[in-house]
Amino acid sequence: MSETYDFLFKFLVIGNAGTGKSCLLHQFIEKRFKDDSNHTIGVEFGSKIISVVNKSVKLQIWDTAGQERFRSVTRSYYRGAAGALLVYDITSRETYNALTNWLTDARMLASQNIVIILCGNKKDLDADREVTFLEASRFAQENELMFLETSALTGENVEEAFVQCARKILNKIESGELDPERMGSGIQYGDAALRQLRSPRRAQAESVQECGC
Amino acid sequence: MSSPSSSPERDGGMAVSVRLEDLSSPPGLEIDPAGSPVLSPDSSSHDAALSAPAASPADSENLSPDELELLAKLEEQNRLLEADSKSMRSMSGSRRNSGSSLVSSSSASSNLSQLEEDTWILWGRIELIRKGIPHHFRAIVWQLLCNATDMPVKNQYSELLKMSSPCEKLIRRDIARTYPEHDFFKGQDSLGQEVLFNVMKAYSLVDREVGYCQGSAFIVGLLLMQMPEEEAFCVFVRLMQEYRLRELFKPSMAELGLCIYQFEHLLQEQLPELNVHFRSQSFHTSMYASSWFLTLFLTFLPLPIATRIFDIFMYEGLEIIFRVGIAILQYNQTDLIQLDMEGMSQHFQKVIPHQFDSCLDKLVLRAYQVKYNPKRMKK
Repeated sequence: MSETYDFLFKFLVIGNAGTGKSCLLHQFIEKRFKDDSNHTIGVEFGSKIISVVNKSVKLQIWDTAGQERFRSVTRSYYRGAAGALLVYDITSRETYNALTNWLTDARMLASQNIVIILCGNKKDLDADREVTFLEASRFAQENELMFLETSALTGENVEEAFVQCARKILNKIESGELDPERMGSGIQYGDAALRQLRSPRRAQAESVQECGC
Repeated sequence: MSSPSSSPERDGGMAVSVRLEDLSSPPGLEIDPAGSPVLSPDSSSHDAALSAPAASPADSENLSPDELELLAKLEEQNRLLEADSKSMRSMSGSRRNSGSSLVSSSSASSNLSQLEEDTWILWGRIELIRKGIPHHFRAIVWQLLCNATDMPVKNQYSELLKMSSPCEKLIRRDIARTYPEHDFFKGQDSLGQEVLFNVMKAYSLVDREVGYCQGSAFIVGLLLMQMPEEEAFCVFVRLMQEYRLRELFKPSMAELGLCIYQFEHLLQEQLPELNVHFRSQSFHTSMYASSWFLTLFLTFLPLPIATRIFDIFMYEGLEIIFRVGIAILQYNQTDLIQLDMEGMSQHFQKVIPHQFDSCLDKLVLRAYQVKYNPKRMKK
């Protein structure tokens, strides 16, 4: 494989069963909706290189089984994750109510500085909505999460969710808040190893691109 | 996913008929020259075994009088079944059309109970199970192998369906995501989805501690491809009770941790280089092996081969999962060792599942060449 990238970020996709985690990942990677996939047992893996503020970033994404009892299996994958998509289903309050638990797990088990984006998935099913945009954005704000409503079916905001999360991590590296060389940061330099990123910031500082959260 | 061995009884109403020669040499079967699967770890013999020609007619002559008697009994049994399958077919036909109550009662099972248990031990001796149970016998043989023909819980089944379970919502979420590509389970109102939901719900009511666990629906789904829901329910209850599955699916999932640990131990012992490579790449055993244990390869390999493994599982238990797992890694060792973590993930997802499509026996034979010491596993 002759792919080059500047950074590699480890990502997680977490949230209750049936919220569409695997479909989000599939839509992100393959650009289409997969409506005939098995439910995820254990963990699955996908990766993609994206370009964010002039950097190419490879995302290594772990997609996890959603049922509560599988946390004993999936927990070991949290360690050293730089970013996470925390997914609920806008048509199911139950999946929304579980967010606090997921959040606690992620903050406790992944790296302390993990950047999390909250995804209210199944945006296309607005008629069956049980969770409003407003209350979810409040929850996101209170818990310092970014927030988007997504649709793995139509693809709306799917790429954005991954990109925004990656962008925020880059910003944090840029500002020195995140040290890629710290063990368990979930970040690695790519072969293009642009360590100069850590040297004096350039004029068009990436932080200008602050994501809307 | 390649097309599964869909049940002719359900799908097309194909008549069941088996002749003696079918039994002694199922189609495409390769028989080891010694007449039994190779159990010896001697690797020098294995390629010879793999390339052995198909069974010759002489093989049936090698059978002992006991075995011949069994085959005669089976033939008799099969005639009974043939008659029975006609009634089953008409029943399932009407079920499909009316969409009414799904309570089924197959007279097959009552015929079956006439067969004595030793007969089935004998069946095992003939090694037919390792060579693949002929498709039209699976329903019966599976029921007999796990002793699920006369279970009192069967009488509760229709009552259980009237009750409501706290797991219903969870089960519903997974039903359409279980074998979504298989004809029997396709479509929201399909018979397959309905009976799968019923069996999962009924089980969650008789075992409140386990309730419903993701993964188990694939096992039940496979049973339902072969037999009516009440029978599938009984077999599933047995598998949960007697085959370690209940422990695997309990909320703590501690048994899964144990299986992974044991598997790692085998890996270390038998493929030490590969084990070192996995470690250096942080390629954890649970990444690929969790689903192997929880769904008995049903979500990893295409159905024809996974069903073969399931045949053996019914007879020998979880050991076969360890064996097949190690055999797969052994077969792929040279490739895997050259790949990084991502490359290996890809290899597991894309390459391995279809490696054995054209030769189902190869994997089974290799699995039996794996050294496996049950006593050491207990430690």
